[in-house]
Amino acid sequence: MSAAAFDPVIHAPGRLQICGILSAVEEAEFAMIRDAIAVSDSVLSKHLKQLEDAGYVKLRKQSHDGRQRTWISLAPAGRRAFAAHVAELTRLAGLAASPGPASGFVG
Amino acid sequence: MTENPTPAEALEAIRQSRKAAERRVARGSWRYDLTYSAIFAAMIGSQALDMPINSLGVAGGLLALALLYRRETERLGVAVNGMTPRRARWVAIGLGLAMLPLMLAAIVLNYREPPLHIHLLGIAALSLVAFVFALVGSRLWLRVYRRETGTGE
Repeated sequence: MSAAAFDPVIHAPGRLQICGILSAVEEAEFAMIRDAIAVSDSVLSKHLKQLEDAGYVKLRKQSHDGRQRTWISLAPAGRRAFAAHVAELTRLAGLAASPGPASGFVG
Repeated sequence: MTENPTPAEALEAIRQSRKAAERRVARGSWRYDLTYSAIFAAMIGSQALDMPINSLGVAGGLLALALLYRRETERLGVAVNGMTPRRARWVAIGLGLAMLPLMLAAIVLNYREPPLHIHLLGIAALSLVAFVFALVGSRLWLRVYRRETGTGE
């Protein structure tokens, strides 16, 4: 199991969703991700560039029926970072949900 | 979702995006599973026939499975090879192992050279069992996959 660690690269809403999709499959096609998270091509490209620069995703170009398609997958480092980020979010959500220290009574 | 989501919002966003991927994987899955099971049935059945049909049956079956996988990947926009996530992988491995005794039984059936009607009946029975195993295994895999990706159902 990954140690919990907050990752600001992953935490941005779009990138969080991209990593969520990629964590459930081996590879996903650019258009599938774009439609699933409802962003434009350019916004998705920016997010993917940031994830790629961090070493979290791998991009693969493939020609199919005369047009080029881009397939994206989580790199091992991305898979580890995402698992650690989810663990940290789960921990933080647990803290937020648990009742705080008793107040109004000090002995 | 806000630019700086709370942990609960972020977890919900992840759950929703995984669900989107899972919906894609499940789209048209019955048609895929039936085709996949028919290929398995043909591969097992062909093992009860003489050379070179049995070898061609395996080679043709593997080629058909590869083409099916490729076509589904192109159609859905997602690739899932069956070996992840962890528990779903064991369903895929279990299905492969369940096919081995069927394949062996088909080879033995051919080796014993029974009367034609028994031979044909044996091929039909083994193919049918292989089809059912593959279909049940495939549906079970999807169920485990959904549970493991956190989308339930």
